[in-house]
Amino acid sequence: MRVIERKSLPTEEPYVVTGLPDIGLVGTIAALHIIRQLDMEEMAYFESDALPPVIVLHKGRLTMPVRIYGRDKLYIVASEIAISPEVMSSLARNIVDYAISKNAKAIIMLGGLAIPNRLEIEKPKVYAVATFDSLINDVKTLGVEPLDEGFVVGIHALILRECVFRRIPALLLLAQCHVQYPDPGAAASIIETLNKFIGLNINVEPLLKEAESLRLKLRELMRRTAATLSRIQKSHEYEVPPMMYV
Amino acid sequence: MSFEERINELFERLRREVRRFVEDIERYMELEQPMWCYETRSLEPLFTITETEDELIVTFDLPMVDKDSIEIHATEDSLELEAKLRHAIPGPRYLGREVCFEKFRKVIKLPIKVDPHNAKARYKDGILEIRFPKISRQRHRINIL
Repeated sequence: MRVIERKSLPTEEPYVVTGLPDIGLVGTIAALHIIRQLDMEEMAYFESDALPPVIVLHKGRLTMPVRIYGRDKLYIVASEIAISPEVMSSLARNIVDYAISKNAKAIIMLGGLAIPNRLEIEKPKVYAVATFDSLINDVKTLGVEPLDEGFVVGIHALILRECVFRRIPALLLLAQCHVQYPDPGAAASIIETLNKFIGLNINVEPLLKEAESLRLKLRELMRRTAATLSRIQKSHEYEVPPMMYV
Repeated sequence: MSFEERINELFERLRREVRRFVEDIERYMELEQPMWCYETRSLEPLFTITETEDELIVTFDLPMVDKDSIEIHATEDSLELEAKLRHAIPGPRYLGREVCFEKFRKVIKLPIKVDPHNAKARYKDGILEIRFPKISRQRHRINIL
């Protein structure tokens, strides 16, 4: 796999944010909303024989399914296809390589934390996992609770692992969400947290207004993502690590 | 471990692998089916089925639907749902025609037998939740005459 770059931002220490298909499509929905609100430009895309034979058509223009957008001090990695287990490792490595090549301040991953009683929750809470304590301390001041115990499974786990090995600052933000339905409400919560953390001003009202329409459009991607998550045993995230009492 | 135990373990592993293979094929075949039907002008909703000790809980994601337009019919082992969309949604071109979808429609075979007469349903924030009590299986002693 490689990154084919078309443009680059003339900026020092940008943030690299990922919004990849995962539980509740929280990251995907959040990324797409931020890209639209900031009118971000396509900077690069990922190319690999291991990616499915898919090309995307938007307003008559061909574009690759997994790509990177940029504006000001922010890069966003987004995908319009489910990320298969066969591609996850190389994608994670390439994302981290890209962040290092841009001298990124941190990699911030946006994702969901499935909870069974999501219907009873009006405003989803956001939790955090990070490779450095300083990042955790920073998000704590914003009212985000760190996760103390558990498993992280999937593309986020691979990016975190890569960042632990290479000592890269990485933060995973997880919003409470539905287990298998697209959740724009959770995406709105995570964008609000991101706004405070990196000083953005993304308005989430338009996202909440079009929530129903988004849920309708994202059914297929949610179904394929759920099938992928089942293959990688995502249910590990609901378990308690056996050594938690050590 | 005795020889017999080893053979049983091998057969158990083989059964698990075959079961996983069949599940993978079923999942693949399901993914290859589109989530819409042009003939009935209907969309297929996302749904989940979970079980507790006493209940079978089926939920559907039904955005752009009003509660009054939802119809649910159930038997002991199946569930049929139809829900009219607030307004028709254009779909991709099919055989050169533009088709609009007007409703959600889904028929599900339930994994266990339930009591549809005492089922309860609620619709909140676009999610329909139906709770079916499980049919309790009572043990009866049979006397030998």
